[in-house]
This record gives sequence, C-alpha cells and structure tokens, in this order.
Amino acid sequence: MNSNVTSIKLVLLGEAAVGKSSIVLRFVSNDFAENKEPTIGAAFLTQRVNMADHTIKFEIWDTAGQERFASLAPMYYRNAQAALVVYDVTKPQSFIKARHWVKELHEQASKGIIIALVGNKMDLLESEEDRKVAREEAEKLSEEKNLLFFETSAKSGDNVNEVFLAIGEKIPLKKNDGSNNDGLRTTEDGRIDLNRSDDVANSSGCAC
Amino acid sequence: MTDKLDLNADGKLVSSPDANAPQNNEILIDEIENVGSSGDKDVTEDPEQVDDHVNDEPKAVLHSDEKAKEANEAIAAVEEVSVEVPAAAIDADVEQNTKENEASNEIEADPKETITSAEEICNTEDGLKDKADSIRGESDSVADDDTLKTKQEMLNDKIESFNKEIQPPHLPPRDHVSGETPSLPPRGHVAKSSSGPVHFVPPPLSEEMKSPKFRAHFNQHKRSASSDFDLVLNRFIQNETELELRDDKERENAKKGTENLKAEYDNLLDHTEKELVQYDWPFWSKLVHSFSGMVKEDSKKLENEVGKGIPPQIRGIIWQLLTSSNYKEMEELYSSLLLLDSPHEKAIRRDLSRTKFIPETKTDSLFNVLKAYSLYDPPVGYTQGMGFIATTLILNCEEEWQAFSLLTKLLKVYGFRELFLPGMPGLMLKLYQFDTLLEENDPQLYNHLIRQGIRSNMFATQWFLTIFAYKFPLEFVLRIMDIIILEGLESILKFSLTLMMKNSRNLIVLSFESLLEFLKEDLFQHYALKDDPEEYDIDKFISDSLEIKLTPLQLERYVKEYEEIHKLETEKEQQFEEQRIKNRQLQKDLRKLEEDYTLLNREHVTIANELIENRLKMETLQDENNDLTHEIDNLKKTLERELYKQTLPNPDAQIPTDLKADLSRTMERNLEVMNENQELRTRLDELEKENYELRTGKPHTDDTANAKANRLGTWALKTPWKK
Repeated sequence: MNSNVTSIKLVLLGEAAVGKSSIVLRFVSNDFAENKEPTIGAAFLTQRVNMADHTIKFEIWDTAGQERFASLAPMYYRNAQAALVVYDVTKPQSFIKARHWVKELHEQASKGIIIALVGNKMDLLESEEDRKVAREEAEKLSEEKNLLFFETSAKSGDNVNEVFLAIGEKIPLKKNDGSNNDGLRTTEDGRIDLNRSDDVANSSGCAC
Repeated sequence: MTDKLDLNADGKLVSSPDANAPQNNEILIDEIENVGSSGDKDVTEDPEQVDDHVNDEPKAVLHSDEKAKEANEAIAAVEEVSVEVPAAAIDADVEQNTKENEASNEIEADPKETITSAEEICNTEDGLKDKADSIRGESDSVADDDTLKTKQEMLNDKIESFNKEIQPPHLPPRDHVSGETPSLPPRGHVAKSSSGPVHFVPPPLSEEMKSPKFRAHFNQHKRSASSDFDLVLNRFIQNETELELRDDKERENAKKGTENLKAEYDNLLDHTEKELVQYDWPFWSKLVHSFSGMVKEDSKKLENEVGKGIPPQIRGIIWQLLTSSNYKEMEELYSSLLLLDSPHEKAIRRDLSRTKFIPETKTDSLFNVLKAYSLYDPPVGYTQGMGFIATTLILNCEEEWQAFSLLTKLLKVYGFRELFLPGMPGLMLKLYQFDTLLEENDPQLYNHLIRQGIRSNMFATQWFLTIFAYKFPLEFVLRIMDIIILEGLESILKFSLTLMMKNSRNLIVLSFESLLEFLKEDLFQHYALKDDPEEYDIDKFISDSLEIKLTPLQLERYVKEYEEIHKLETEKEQQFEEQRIKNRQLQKDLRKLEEDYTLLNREHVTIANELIENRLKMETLQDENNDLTHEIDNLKKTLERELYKQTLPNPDAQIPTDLKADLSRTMERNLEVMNENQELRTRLDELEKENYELRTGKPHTDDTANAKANRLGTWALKTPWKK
C-alpha cells in the first residue's frame, strides 16, 4: 500500500464563508455540517485517494478566509504543490477575491503550483437568477491563467472529489515511500536520492 | 550603617532595612534591582558586593520623577565607568571579603595580584564615590514628596514580602569588614560592574537608560522594580496609569462606577452568602474593597486565590473592578454606537450563527457588542476570534454596555487589540514569546516540534486569538480570563506552556500529522478526570499554570528580541520588494534596450553595408587615381624630355656621330661607286669604240660617242668627283 504513495501538499484559499472547510470536510469525511464554524488560524487534514496505479495522499491546509488572516496565508501556500481557490457562486465579491488569490499564488507560490478554481455552493442555485458569478467568466479566467475549473457543492457533494482527482492526475508522479517523516527518500535501487530534498520538505508538511 | 540587603537565589532583591535608615537605601534598592533586572542571574554571584554597597553607601530616597531621571542618568554613567574595573580585581576583592565573612564563595583569584589590582581600582572608585555623593545630594534635596512617599512605602512593602517569601541566606555581620580592610575602596558600584561585561539581549540597563524612549517607558512604570518581576503588580500599575490618563470627568465617573460595583457586590453577598459556602468570601470582600492594598501586600496570594476561580456570581463585578471599566461615558458611548451602521454587520452575523461557543440566547447581545466595537475601533473592525472573547464577557455582565466597556479595556489596555490588527502583530509576538519560552522550558519538545516541521502558528494561533475558546470548554476559558484580567494577556503563555509541557511525553513520540492532531484536540486530555473523561480537573490545570513564573521583564526582553528580528525581517522583505520592483523596472529597461539594440543593429548592418560599398568604390577610385597619376607622371616626363630637347642649343649636335660617320661613309662609298661607275663607263666607252672599230673598222667619231654618253646620264659625264 505504501509503496506507491505520492504526497500532495494542497492549500485552500478564498474569501470567508465560501465553503473551504466544507469542501475539505466533504472530501475527507464525505460529510457536511450546516453552519460550520469559522476557521481560526488554519486546519490540517489528510486524505488518501487511489488512482489507477498509485495512491495519492492529500495533505491539506485549510486556511482562515477572513481578510485579516490573509497575512498568515503565505506560510501555508509557500510550499504547496496545489491550491484550491474557492469562491461562492452566489457572491460576486468572493470571485473578485478569488482573482486576487490566483494572482498572489502566481506571484508568490512555487512555480509549478497547480491551481484549481472552485465555484462552490451550486446547491443554492435554484434558478439561474440566483447565480451571481457567470460560469463563462470563471472559465475565461481559468483559461487565461491556466487553472483547473470546477463548480461544486460541498453540501450535495457534487464535483468535490472530481476537483481533487483532477489535481491528482495533473501532479507529476513522484516515487516515494509514503512515510513522510523519515527524512530521507530512497530511489528504487535503495540508494538515498539527494535530489529529492524538496520533496522531503514538502511532504513533511512544514509550512515555513 | 547596618542595612542589610541581599539577593536571593532568583536574583530577586530582598531588603531588611534597620531602624536607622528606613528609607535611605531606597535608591540603592532601585539600583540593585536595576542590576537585577538587567541580569538577575549574575547579581546572585556576588551577594557580598551588594552587601558592601549597602554598608558603604546608604542612599536617600529619590522623590520627584524628574530628579529620579537625572539621577538615573548619572547612575548609568557611573555604571558605565565601573564596568571598566578589571574583573580580576573585583573577584579578588570579593575573596578578601569572603575570607573575613566565611561566606561560601567560589571565586578564585591570586591574592598577590589582587592587592595591586585592588589598589589600582581605589582611585577609580573614589571618583565614582564622588559622583554618587553628588547624586545623593540631589536626591536629598527633593526628599519630601508625600505622594511618592506612599509609593516608596509600597515598594518597601513589596520588598518585605519578598523577604518573607524567599528567606534570604544567612550572612555574618558585616561591621568589621570596613574596619579591618581599610585599604579597600567602597564597593558601591562594583556590584553593578559585575553585570557589566555580560551582554544581555536587551543591552544593560545603563545602555538602555540612554534612550529617551526607554527612560520614558521606565518612568512611566514608576521605576517600580518589583513590577518588573510581578505580572500582577505590573498589570495593576498599567491599569492605574490608564485610569490616570483618562480625563477628570471620566476618572470621577469611573470611581463612581467602582463604588456602584462595590455596592452591587455587597448587596449580592447579603442575599446569597449562605448558599456559597465553598468560596472564601472574606477574601473576595477584601479584594472588592481594597484591591490596591492587596496587590501591594501580597500579589502571590492574590494570584493563587483568583486562580481558584472567581465565584461566578461576582465574576463580572470583579472583572469590571480590576479594569475600572464601569463608567457612565462608556454606557453613553455604547448606546450611541448602537444607533450607527457598521460595515462589519454582515460578517458578524454570519459568524455568530455558526459559532457553537456562543449560547443562542446571547447572540443578539454579542452582535450588538461586536458591532459597537467595530464602530468604535475601525482599524480592528471585526476580526474572527473577537466573538469568543466577547462571549465570555457578555456571559458575566449584567448589561451589554458593561461587556462592551470591558471589551474595549481588554483590547486597548490589555493589548488584545494587537492580536486583531491587520497583520496581527500581537499574535506574531505572542507566538514568538511562546516559542522562546518553550525552547527555554522544554528544549527537547521544542526541538522535536521543529524537527517535525511543526510551527507554533499551526496550533497556537487559535489559542491566542480566542483565549482557548475555539476548542476548549467555556469553564476553562472563564478561569483563564480570571487570571488574564488580574495579570494581563501575557498569562496566556503560562497556560499554553503548561499544556505543552504536561503533554511533553506524549508529544515527543509523535510525528507531524499525529502531532498536529494531538495539539489541536487532545492536549486537555491530560486534565481529564479518570472516572469521567468528559470532566476536567480545571483547578489542577490553573495551579500548574500558575507555577510557571513569567516576569514582565523577561517578557519585555522577548518583545525587544522579537521587534529586532521583526525589524530585520521587514527590512529584508522591504529590500526584497524593492529589488523586485527594481528588477521589474530593469527588465522593462532591458526589453527596451534590447529593442533599441535590434534597431541599432539593423541600422548598423545597413551602415556597414554602405561602408563596404563605399570602401569598394573608394578602392576603384583609388586605382583610377593611381592610373591617372601614373599617366600624369609619364606625360610630365615626356613633356620634360621634350622641353629639355627644346632647350638644347644645336639640335644637330644631338645627331649621333655614327650617323655622320655613316653619312660620310656612305658618301665615300657613293664616291667610290661613282668612281667605279665612271671607270666602268669609260671602259664601256672604250669597249664600244673598240666594238665599233672592229665592226666598221673605222675609228669612232666623237659625235656618236657623245650621244651615247648622254643617254647614260649627263651627270656621269662630268668630271669624276674627287675626294
């Protein structure tokens, strides 16, 4: 089981109350809580996903969304390989914030970071009039900035796993032994691979 | 001259002034405490010196702040000089004293060396003594100020209480010292010099006193050295200072509010006393009616009693009393703020509906309080986390405005505000203090966390921003708030440290993920009751936490460290940002230059081509030119020759002689040929004559002969040419 595990450090960003924690809760526990508590600081969760020929372990930092906490975010996204930038399809302001996060990630995060733009709360759209962020607009942004794009509902579970699977598929496969804190990675023939120092730092989850 | 002063093992100052000079050693005490404050550990190494200091230099009280400041500066100067006294000499002096006193002292020094060094420093010491005398003179001159006298007394009380508490080590009588070693100089400043060479993270006090900012801060604290060691006292003084800073009317009303609260308390006590036997009511009554006296008297006891938990019935009253937050202006302010609209209303409502910590019946009050605060303090506005703090207040106040007033005091006077300001500077500072304290108190755990990649911001952020309310039960939070209101926000570090250290053994075996899990969820399990895991031994948790000693001085030191680090970081970031901007500008410039370059390159190529063409042209022209020049030369030569020929006098002379010779030869030849011809003609004539004669047999006539001769050429008939 452990022989084929790739760890992906993933961070969630987005305005307050767009459903970041709910998306994580859905993905990790397949659960939903109405009126989930605001995240203070950041929360760490993990989830394993079996792909065709290997397992991906998502190491997720779920950050606080309120603007005041934005100064804490860099220490969480700095080493992240993937990011979910979440907005609320019924709140235009949250999409503006999402744009900012995408921009900041491109400027500050590691070069090859995979970003998924996620419009959440699709369950609130009883009619198209409830929608305040056009799908086309988000698609346009995704194309421009080379993002994955999904519209999800953490409440119903729609499309949530798909976001993570798409990220898992897009992440270049990296051989590692799955246990994260042994400090050393070995190559297939058992030698210590010195070129993998980056991975060690990433998978041990150090955000600083 | 027999005052006794000593430093106990913790470096705390203990004094037992005798009847002769009850107050006169006050400045000295301050000085020594200052030394203690700048380096408490070091002072303990030389208790003897402090003794000497006392023996030789009884001091007068410093009264007015201004004078105190002057004196401080002078002392700082004296300290500076005394730092230069050779350490060996000091050690040696100490040994001499030590021998006399039979005190245990580990100092080793060569006695021979000692004497000379001791003599050497004599002079310096005398100079210093003079300086000190002049300072004393000044201080004496202001020796009658009543208000400060009370403060002095308070300090004396404090010192006495230390004395009781700490049991100073026994010291032999010091009378004979000065008599038997008259050659030794007074030791007043040497005690301080012992702390001189050691470098502390904040510079020695003498250095710090040079900064006006520090002096202002220092004096603002009334130079109460004890408050440097005591969070309760420190908090009290800061709250008092804040009260003094309010305008007269507000202060007056605050007094009134305090009286009201006292009355409320008395009233409450009358009605409920019988049911509340488990509390020490005399203590609480005393606290309500003479808190300031208790602070000065025995802050340790106060801490312990409050640590047992303020009775829930009077918690709100006590909190308001300690913060002096109950006054009319706040009530008015609150009701006027409620009439306004806050831009944060939506965010507040949204969070209230999704925070379990807040009882549903209180959400409206909480909304009002938070909204009012967001209007009252726009830079903070509303920040998630404030709701948790406000909840604890609302649950303990009769009126919303009282909770609001308490909240403003906690934020503005207690420093909670910095936690919530943009950038959260207070949070960063608390995290730094937490890290440093953990490293000092449990280095093994600290290193383990670091190795596992765990940083305190990953788990402690929510502790500090919500006073543990985010994950821990309300009862815990209220008890923690009791202590925080008594001692200040800094006390939260005690609780944080206790949780870490008590769980150290559990934590040290865990790796990253399980560590984070444990730190967020399971820390309190340590205090879970064995028979009922849902219940916790809060008393034990509080008393464990109160065992951790934090001094304002120590914390202040970390603040300074942090500020230094933060400053450097900000500078670095700024530099980085500047470099980035520069880089971007340079890249733009580069692109422009590259464009220019290509343009220029193109131009260059054209020009180069032109140049080559021109060169070729030039070459051809050169060739032509050469040819022409050559021709001209030739022509010139020809011309010259012609000219030269013309200039010759006889052109014949130029005819070569051989031509003449030829000519003459030809003429001769011609002559010969003519002559021959003549001869032949003659012969022919003769032959013709003969022939005629033969044919005719007659001699030839002259006429026919002549005719024949005419036919041959008349010229030949002429006389032959002779040469």
